[in-house]
Amino acid sequence: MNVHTPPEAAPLIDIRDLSMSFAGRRGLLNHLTRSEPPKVIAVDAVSLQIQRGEIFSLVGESGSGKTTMGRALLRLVEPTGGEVYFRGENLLQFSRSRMMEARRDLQMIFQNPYSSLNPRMTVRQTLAEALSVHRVCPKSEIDARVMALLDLVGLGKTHADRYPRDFSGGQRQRIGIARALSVEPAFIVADEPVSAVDVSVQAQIMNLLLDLRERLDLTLFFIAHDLSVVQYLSTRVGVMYLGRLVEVAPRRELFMRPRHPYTQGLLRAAPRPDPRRRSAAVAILGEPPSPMAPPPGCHFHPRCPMATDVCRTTRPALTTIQTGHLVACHHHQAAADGWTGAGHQP
Amino acid sequence: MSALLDVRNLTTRIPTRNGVLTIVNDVGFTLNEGECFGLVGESGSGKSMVCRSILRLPPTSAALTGGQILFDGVDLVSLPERDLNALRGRQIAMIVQDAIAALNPVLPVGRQVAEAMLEHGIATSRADARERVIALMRKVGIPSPEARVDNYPYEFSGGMCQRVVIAAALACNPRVILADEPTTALDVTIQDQILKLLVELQKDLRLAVLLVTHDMGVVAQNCQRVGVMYSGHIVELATTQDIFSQPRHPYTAGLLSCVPSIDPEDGDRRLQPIAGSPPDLADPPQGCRFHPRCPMADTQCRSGAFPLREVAPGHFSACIHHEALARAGGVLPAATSSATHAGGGPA
Ligand SMILES: Nc1ncnc2c1ncn2[C@@H]1O[C@H](COP(=O)(O)OP(=O)(O)OP(=O)(O)O)[C@@H](O)[C@H]1O
Ligand SMILES: Nc1ncnc2c1ncn2[C@@H]1O[C@H](COP(=O)(O)OP(=O)(O)OP(=O)(O)O)[C@@H](O)[C@H]1O
Ligand SMILES: [Mg+2]
Ligand SMILES: [Mg+2]
Repeated sequence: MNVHTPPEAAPLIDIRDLSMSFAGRRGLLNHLTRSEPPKVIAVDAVSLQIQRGEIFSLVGESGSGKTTMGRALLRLVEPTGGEVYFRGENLLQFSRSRMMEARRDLQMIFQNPYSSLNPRMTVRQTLAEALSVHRVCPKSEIDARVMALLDLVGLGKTHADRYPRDFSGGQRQRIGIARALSVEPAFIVADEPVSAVDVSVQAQIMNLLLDLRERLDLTLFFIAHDLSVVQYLSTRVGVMYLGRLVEVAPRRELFMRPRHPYTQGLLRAAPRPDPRRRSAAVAILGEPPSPMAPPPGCHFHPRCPMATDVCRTTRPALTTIQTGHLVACHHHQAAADGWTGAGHQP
Repeated sequence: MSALLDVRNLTTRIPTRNGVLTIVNDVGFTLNEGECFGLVGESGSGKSMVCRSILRLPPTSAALTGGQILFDGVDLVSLPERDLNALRGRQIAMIVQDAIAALNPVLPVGRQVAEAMLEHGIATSRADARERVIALMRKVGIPSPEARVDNYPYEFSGGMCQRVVIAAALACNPRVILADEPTTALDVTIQDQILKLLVELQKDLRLAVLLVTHDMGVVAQNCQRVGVMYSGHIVELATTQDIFSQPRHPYTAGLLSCVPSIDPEDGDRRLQPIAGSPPDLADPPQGCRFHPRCPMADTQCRSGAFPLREVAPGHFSACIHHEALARAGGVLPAATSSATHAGGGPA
């Protein structure tokens, strides 16, 4: 799993201060007082480089901004700030037609493949359409390509002329993956592709993604909330909390030596499939605050056992504390020193 | 220890256009006071239907066609509806996955928690009920309950709604709680809080909890014993320790080998997915229902009945090859590719 790209290699994707805010819904109070509804800053000045061949995973709780981040960096929503360089060029300045061309290289896989597949098209038609829209191959070769794609994702000839409703959840996810792969993209954002399926299907899909990455030299931006899935699949991991990246590290480093109290809490909260290692104490108290009124300073401070005055006033910058390991915490040293593993003593 | 709830040969059928489906098939287990019993299995295996059948709440078209459900020695299956009503929510309470949907959106949460108390005569007056509700809300970890008791469900987060639902379940001091995926819709940090709350309550109040989940991690962390469901059957039943350390059914072993580890120290072992997918209930395979996906299956597995049998003290399995599996340390032989089109992925 060790893809080690020398640091001087230009990143495939270079995200700089990417931001995305949504206007909140206008309530009665806003009408009466003619005030602006509160904004939601779903992605708050996130910077990140992704190297070719990586499986970079983004984890975080519901509402932390993972999906918005994935969509904004593919420009499926128009970001409200920042830059996204793809092979050295800023995507956000591309014209419509340039962007259309670039789409071929930048694909997305969704959590619920059913809603993203046309129910009136057979699998063959769905894949053939993707191939012809992007003129991936001559018309005469489309059929052979479709078959090769089905084979690639572990489906057979017999599946080609069926409709999405005739497939299981796992099979639909394979079709979604085949469609994304059909145009031979360089970069795929996969938004929780295994979150809604059973563990056996989850394992099938994850193995498929690992195989495909190996065979096709893919780069994946993988969104998840399940840390064990991320541990299995990733080369590098970023942890998001309320729109901000709070920690980034190579996979092993993140799981062995997490330095942000939030990452540490997430690791302790995950239920381990091992009855000999049970945890007794609650990992993180409290709930994530409202994204419409995030707390000042470090967003995590109201739930953080290490918070002090500085955390309540000053946003900690995402800082490199060792090669490849970045953390945004005023007390990362103390947090690192206090970490004794995910605990789980009886 | 005699069982508080003793489910025997429970069978539930639903008539559909494709014929009568047997959704729950000869299911049996016991639930003791102060125990958390896990029911685990993939989507569609019948876990929810077991819970609903215990309270005789299946869809109206469904029929409980067999078995007994002994609660404190009384058979719920033959109990008149009126008597069962007196038990439901009073002695046996249910917590469902979707807390927000379970609550009435136009009633303050406090009123909803109070409802069962008033109905079952636990509270003597509205004022008494209110006091009790506030105490309960505090017990389940809802901050400043005096202020929150008159709020509506939409004013609560998903996690807080689930706490309200738990408070409502506890309202009449039940002895059994059927918890059907109580945390599946929640974030991992909130799931952790809610499960620890449930376990604490279960210990303090000596509740018997049936915890339905599809997450082996949730089972490992919270249950004393487990039943593994597949296609309407319980195929293995044992203590949590035994299920994890020496599974005696290939389906259980398969499930375990699908679960990724959160610990990099466990190594980069490749996951071994179970080939194929669960059978269609309208056309289930003959013999052992798992045999088309099972790497240990042979001709014996293709016909006949496969009831649970005690294969070691307190350890029940429906697999005739349980000894071979035990000898292999609970590890399945590598799957044969013939078993699958959906499984395994490209070689
Ligand atoms: N179209 C939109 N309009 C307004 N607010 C939005 C919109 N899309 C997302 N948001 C808000 O932005 C924040 C981040 O949402 P996002 O869906 O990116 O989170 P997520 O991390 O993907 O969550 P989940 O794990 O639930 O998928 C949330 O507060 C959400 O309510
Ligand atoms: N009203 C119904 N009519 C026909 N079939 C039904 C009905 N309700 C449930 N089923 C079927 O019964 C089987 C068991 O369903 P059940 O909801 O108990 O599964 P489960 O194990 O709880 O799954 P999940 O993990 O998805 O909640 C499924 O195959 C389901 O399709
Ligand atoms: Mg999302
Ligand atoms: Mg269910």
